[in-house]
Amino acid sequence: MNEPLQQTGWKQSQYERPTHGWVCGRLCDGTPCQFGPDSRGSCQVKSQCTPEKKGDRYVCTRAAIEGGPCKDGPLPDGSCCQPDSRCQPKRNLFGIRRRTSALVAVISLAACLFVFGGNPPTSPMLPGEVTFQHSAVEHDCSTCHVAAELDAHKFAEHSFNGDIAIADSKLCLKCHAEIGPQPFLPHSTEHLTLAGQADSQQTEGETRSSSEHGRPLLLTLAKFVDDRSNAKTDELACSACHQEHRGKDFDLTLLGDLQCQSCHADQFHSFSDGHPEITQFAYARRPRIYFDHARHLSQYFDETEFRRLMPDGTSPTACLACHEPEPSGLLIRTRGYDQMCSACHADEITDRETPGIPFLAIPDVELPDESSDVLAAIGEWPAKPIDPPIRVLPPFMQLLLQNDKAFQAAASLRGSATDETATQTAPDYYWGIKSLLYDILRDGDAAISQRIGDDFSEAVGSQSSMVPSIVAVARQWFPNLSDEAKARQQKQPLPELATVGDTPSLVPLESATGGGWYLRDADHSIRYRPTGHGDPLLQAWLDATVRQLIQPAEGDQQTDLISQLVNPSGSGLPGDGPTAAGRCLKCHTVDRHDDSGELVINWRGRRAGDHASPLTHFLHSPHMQLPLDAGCVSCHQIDTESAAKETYHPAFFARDNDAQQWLPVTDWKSPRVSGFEAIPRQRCAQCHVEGSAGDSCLKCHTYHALPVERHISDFWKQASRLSR
Amino acid sequence: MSTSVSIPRPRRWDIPFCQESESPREMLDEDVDRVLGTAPFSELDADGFKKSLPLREILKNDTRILSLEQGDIVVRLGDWGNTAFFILNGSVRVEIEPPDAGLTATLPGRTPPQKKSLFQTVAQLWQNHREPEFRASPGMQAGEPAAGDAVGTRSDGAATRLFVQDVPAVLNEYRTVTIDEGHWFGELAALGRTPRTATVFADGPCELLEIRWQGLRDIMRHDRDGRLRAWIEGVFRERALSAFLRTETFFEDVSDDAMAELVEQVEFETYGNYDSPQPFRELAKQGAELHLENEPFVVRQGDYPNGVILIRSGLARLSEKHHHGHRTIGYLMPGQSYGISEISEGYQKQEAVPFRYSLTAIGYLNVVVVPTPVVEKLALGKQTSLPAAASPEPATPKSQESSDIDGFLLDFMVNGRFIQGTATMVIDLDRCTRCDDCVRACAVAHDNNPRFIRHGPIHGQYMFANACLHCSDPVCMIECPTGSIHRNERDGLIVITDQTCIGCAQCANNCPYDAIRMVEIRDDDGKFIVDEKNNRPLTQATKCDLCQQIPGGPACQRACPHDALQRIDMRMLETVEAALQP
Amino acid sequence: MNRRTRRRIRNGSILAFVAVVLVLVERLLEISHWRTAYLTGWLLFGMIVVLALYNFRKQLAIVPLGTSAGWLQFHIYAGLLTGVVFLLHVALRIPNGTFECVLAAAYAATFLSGIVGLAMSRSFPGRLTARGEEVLFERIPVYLKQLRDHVEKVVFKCAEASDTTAISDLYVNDLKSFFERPRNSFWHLVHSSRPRKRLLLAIQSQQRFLADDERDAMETITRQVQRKDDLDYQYALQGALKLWLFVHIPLTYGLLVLSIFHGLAACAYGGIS
Repeated sequence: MNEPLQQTGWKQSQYERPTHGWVCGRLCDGTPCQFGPDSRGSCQVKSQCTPEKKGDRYVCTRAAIEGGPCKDGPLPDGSCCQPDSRCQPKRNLFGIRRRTSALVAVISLAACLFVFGGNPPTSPMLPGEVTFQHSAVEHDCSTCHVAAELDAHKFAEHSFNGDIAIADSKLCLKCHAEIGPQPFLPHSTEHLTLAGQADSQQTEGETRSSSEHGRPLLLTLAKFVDDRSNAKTDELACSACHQEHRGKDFDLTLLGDLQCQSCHADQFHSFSDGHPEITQFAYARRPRIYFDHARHLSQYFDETEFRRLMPDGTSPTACLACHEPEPSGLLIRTRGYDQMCSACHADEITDRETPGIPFLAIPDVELPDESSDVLAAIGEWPAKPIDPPIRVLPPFMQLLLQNDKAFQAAASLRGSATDETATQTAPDYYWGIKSLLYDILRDGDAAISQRIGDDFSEAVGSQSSMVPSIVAVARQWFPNLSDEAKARQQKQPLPELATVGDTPSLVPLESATGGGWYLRDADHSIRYRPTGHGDPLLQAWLDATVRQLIQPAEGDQQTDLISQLVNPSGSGLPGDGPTAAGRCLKCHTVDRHDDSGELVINWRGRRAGDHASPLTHFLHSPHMQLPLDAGCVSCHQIDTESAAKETYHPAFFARDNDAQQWLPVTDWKSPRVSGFEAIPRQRCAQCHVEGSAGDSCLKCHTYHALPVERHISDFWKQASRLSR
Repeated sequence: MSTSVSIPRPRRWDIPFCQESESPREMLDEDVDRVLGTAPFSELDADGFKKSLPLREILKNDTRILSLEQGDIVVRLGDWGNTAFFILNGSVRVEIEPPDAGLTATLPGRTPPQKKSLFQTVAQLWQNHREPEFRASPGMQAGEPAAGDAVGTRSDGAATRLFVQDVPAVLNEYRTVTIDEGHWFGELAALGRTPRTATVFADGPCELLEIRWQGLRDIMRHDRDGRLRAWIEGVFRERALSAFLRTETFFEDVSDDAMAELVEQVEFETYGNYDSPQPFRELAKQGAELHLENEPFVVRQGDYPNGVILIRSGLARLSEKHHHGHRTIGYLMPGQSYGISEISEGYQKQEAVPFRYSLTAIGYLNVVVVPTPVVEKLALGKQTSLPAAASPEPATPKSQESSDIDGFLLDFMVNGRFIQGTATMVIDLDRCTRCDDCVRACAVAHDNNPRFIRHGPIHGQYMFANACLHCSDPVCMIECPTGSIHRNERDGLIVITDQTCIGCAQCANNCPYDAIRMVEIRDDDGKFIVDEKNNRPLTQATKCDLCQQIPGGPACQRACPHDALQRIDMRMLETVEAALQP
Repeated sequence: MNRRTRRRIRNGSILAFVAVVLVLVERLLEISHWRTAYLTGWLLFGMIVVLALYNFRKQLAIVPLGTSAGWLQFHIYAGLLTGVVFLLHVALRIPNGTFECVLAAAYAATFLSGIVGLAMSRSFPGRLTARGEEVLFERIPVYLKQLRDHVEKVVFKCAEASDTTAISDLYVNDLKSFFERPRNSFWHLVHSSRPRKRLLLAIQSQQRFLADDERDAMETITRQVQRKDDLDYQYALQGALKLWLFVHIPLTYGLLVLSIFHGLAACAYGGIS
């Protein structure tokens, strides 16, 4: 037997029917029937035939296709002799495959319905662990997902709700309130604010080094797939950046540099290549305390010079003599007045040579003609003092008298000697002063506050009241003031007690030592001398004054009140020079607030709280641990060029119109002087390059405008993660 | 199975020709008498016929009478006809232009292929029967031909006829000849299993006797003195030969009188027995090994050319001596010729050039020989163009030298007679993953019944599967008693009409390729339809119909994911090479 | 270079190009703060659906929807492309949720089965053609029976003829189980003829104990053993060519169902933003 197994003749080989789902059950034995099962899978074999009667005998009628007539033939009774040999058909491969497919589909469908049908969904649906920070709520989906609260049948419809991401993000905010009122805007900030910051940086445009290679290729291409035209106003869901369910230790705050840049106007390759210069960050504003590093270091701290000036002082040897790191590690702050400045500047403040700041003064009586009745109308008046009396009333006094109409009228006429009316009104002028004294004598502090309002009066009376001094003055120079005052009120002639100048000049009482109120008989004035640095009265007095300054000026007094009060020389009087006592504003700069126009005196240096840019941070402490060749100076170079040529730096003080006095410059942003040279970006880039200290945007910038403390903690967290 | 539908076993003449679709009217006895009264039928000797096949019955069942009006189109050039026509009275006109300028080209009116629409195709996916081999109860549907501009339709009883709208115009425009009463036409196409060579339309009212070729064949067999056959030969020489010769590029621009002379001088030669498929089967059995002695030589390699050989019908093998045997290097099909290049070359050198190859008849072969002197005489006229005019002999050494097909494969294809195929199914077994997608597709396309089996003779990596080749010379048709297996009029596909198939299995027996299978037919709910006499399931012949109704061509080929399966038209060796190149 | 190689190179390079573009665009969109996981997710799902459609096209064999070969080409290369899209989708991480793992596993299995299937579809046909008689898979059991019957006939004849039981012993001990049903499919898949050699050796070892007529019988048996082995070879390889689809297709349906739910969940819980 070597002929081929497979016969292809039309008699031996019938059509194969793979689409027909069944095959004969005997196929596996190798003995399939010819027709195979029908389409319902039931055997069609007809081994038995229905014999046909030919003449008197039955003949087998089994068809050729069923094996032809059988040998034995029908039984005598005409029934077939063959046994019924039907099989149990089987599905063919095609049929089995179709069923398997259906089965698998059904099983997976059932599995899905089980997993997703549950309400709340069952844990197999959990797409992976959440970060350890969130692990507490891991198994309560509804904490973070709106969808989890829905019942299963709403599930699908919710799948096509485009706002679901924002809706979920609102759940994030339940815990993360720190993100602020505009959580979904870029940088969780109004883009106007952002634009403002951007502009303030654009002013530094010229100092920007443009990238050598232009914008990175990827970003250029990215513009084609999506120019972030609506990036400013897009609502960004938290999940846009913070991808959860990526495992316990996944860093949720990861953000690629290119991703940062994709929205930004100017794009560059890296920090070292194309990043904007960082001057405006390092020295964003004029220092709050005016301190001319250049001059101090070059002149005053020079050893011999220092000895000459300050025999008992100690000259600083290192930056850290005056500066110290903040506990937060963010800033290096000044050690404060007592450790830094007092050694040299203490005496300047409590200066024995200068008479102190005049608050009240009794002018001398000067009349065109000494007519007796006028003198009588004035009443008693102290005799001429030793020193020439103060011509211009001290600002505070003018303030007290500003509501006395008669006085003001008379004051305006004074000096025009020939004028009749001047003589007539002279008594009003002097009685203005006397009645002021009388009121204070009678009502004390109430009188002052009644005249100038609580603001000033509290300022003045805050520490030690000046009332006692005034009372003393009244007693000495106007013994009968009360009688005279009563008489004048009743329009009666004054009692004939004394005339002008008759009063005996008493022993002048000088407060020889210490600060505070004192009476100066020499020029009949009440003066105040600072008790030392940070004298509260003076501080309050100045604050109160600058608060006044925003009110529109009315009358000359107001203006020269300003001019004198803010005079760095502190003395209330013109020509008095900077040697006068209380030179607060010499160091403490005055800032005018941008929008409110309000003036503020910077009593303190910079603190961690007051931050230039909320999205940019620089931690000093990690940098101080570096072995820097020149210490602080390796970054902070003293700028000798921009050092002040004359007494005061123009950025802080400018002479007034008649070049009489120094007025503080209240614009604190420009000109921007720090006394230091701008820190070149490349200086940072020496270390901050990829592979070394790293130059990821997130090194210095945060996406959300969070409190600085948060940034600091994040930094250390990241540092620890890197070290791991 | 328990209860089966039983009907009488169908037999030949169950459905007489005159009852087929488009038949105008019954064939009545007086019609038969009338026909028997006219020559040449009157001259036939009725006693010479078998008892089972009396002449009268043949005429009654295999013929019908068509009465036509002016301009009615009888046959169209290119149609595949299975019938011959005898003009009882009146006359018809034959249009004898070359096809390209021909009437048919300008006269559409050819019924478009009844392809299913996309919707019908999709619908079929659900309409397919779950049980195999469903057959509806017998009944005929007449195809509705579409009317063209120059061609109208006119209805005549059951028949819908196409007719030429403006006969005079056509007559002016085209060269036509008239055939008069008492003559045959269409018999060549009918007997030769070849397309109609001309368009014929009625020239005024006329009556035609249309006869199935089976009937004509039987008549010819039993007409003792073979007068009819001789007469048909004569008719061919007189009528079709010139047209046939003109199909050969070398003769196409020969003047008419020269052609007339040519026609006189050509000789016919016939090899093998035309009417029987036997030689086919025997030869096919021989398989790859080639026995030239079984094949009569037409010309021998080295002989001096006595003329140009034009193949009329049948197949011829070109072979050359190779060591001690012969090597097949090509084959010739009807319409192709051999010898011109040798003769023309000899003519130029003025010395005889022998045939380069042997030409042998494979099975039946009918050739026309144009003697060398005639060729040379004609050649005098066109000296220059002669070598160029050498006919494009498609499957001759020219292409053979550059052929990718190794001679052994060629041998195999020629011996296995696969070159007959116009759509031979060849499967590249190095690509085929035996996934049976082809079979499945075939089944879906045929009411869930596959129409071929994915097995068959293999040569190297190529399997010639047992699927119908749609032979250029379909021997399966030879013995079909009812003409149920016939050439589709539109595209010449060989198809089986279930309505007339009586399950005699003649075709299956005759097919040398085992491409036809008998199946037990069933009714709507899967019950076998059995012979009411002996309860035996009735069978019918089934075979590939090349998805003639499915848009997009044969489903098997389209369904092969690895383009391993191809239906190749083997008549041109170039196409075969193109298809079989890796 | 034949036309298939050319086609392979052409499609391959198209695939490579598309893959590169995909990866690039994904990166760019990520830079632009898109949730690329959603894009790649939908893309992947869409592709899987289209790929699955190939099976339906096979059902609709007769509808003119382009050739199956064309579809397969698309199926292969698009299938390979899904690999890239998948890696983008999971961002080269192994998903850490139970459901996600199942889903990913389902995909991987489908993908790999496809690759394996492709490899087999390209390498096995040649081997099938090269060895043994080409037979229809469905009919192999029949031919096995023919061989078995033939051999048993021979064995019985010998048993009756001679008084020794050499051949029948050999048959019972070594050949019976071999002829019972298809054997050594694994060895055939790995193209190893070890089992065949072992059997022939067993037969060899008996030769010297045989009488002449028994030798002839043994000759016949040996020939049948080899034919049976060839038949097994056909069975193993043709079977493998059919069986891989039993993994590939059902898994595809499972995968589709799973990924639909995965998509719904992802959208409901992550939001399409």
